[in-house]
Amino acid sequence: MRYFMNIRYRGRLISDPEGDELSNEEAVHGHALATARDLVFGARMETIRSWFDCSFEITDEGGRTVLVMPFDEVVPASQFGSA
Amino acid sequence: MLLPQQGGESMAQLQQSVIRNRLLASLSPDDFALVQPHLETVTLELRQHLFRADQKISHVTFPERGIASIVADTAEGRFEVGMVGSEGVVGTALVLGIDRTPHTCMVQAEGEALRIGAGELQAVMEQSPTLRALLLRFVHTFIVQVSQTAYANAGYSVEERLARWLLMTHDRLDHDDMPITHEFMSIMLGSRRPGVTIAVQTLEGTGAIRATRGNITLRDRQKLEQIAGQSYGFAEKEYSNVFQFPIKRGG
Repeated sequence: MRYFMNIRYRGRLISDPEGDELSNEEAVHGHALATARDLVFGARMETIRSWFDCSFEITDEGGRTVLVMPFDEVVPASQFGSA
Repeated sequence: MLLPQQGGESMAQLQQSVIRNRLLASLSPDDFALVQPHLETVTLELRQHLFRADQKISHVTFPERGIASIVADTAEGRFEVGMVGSEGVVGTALVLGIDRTPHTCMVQAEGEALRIGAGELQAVMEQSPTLRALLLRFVHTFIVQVSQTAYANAGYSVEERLARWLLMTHDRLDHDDMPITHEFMSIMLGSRRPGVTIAVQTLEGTGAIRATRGNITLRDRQKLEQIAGQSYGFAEKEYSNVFQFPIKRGG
């Protein structure tokens, strides 16, 4: 199955014209997390001031949204916690 | 009028005059006569490997048309460390007397090439110090290119690096249409595909390029050079200083 890694950034939707081939819908979350992690820690961009303002809105070939994932999921919640 | 004994030489010269590879075309007639009997014409198919990591490099390849990419293949994925078109030669390790490298070389844009076997190359370099010197000068310019890629990767944004990569690709093609997918650019830049998609949209927004599915058309080279800034130009200037002709065909 092909999944399209569209990005929502400050209200604007940046559509993915190509998509990624993944074995099934269960693989989508892990792939989104790995991709977001590499972008957050490895890709400095002029267009995106902060990757943490981005979410993936991933759709399948039929246009159905299969996952919405804010990029701050790449940072474990405990790092923000008071403990 | 041609004397019979000059037949062979004039035929070799005629062949050199139709050669598009800038290094072969710039050889002295004597050096060209030395390599000419060993040259073999090959086609460069998209994604074809010219050599693989840690395996014996059998030939040096002089692209006539098309582009070869030197890529680092790692467990994390692959990314491009250098590119060579008709301005140069692929398999520079052999010029330096080494028969394998940890890198892989694959065709990025299809075309044709002339190649010469590793053993024959060593023999002709032994025979001609001027031929060896010319090939070493190219190795120098290639090291400068790779160094500039390291500099661009360390200090520049994805948009700037994409602009640089498109300029380098355009330098090595004869046309403004570049049939490339975001997936492919993401491999070449070592950046995840969504970053490339965003960068393509941003560059398109400036009017520098036009993007359709699987294709990038260069519209405003000057604008692209502006965006690439200092990440582009040093290696290209070094090439024209060393060879006294520009890296860009017809440029």
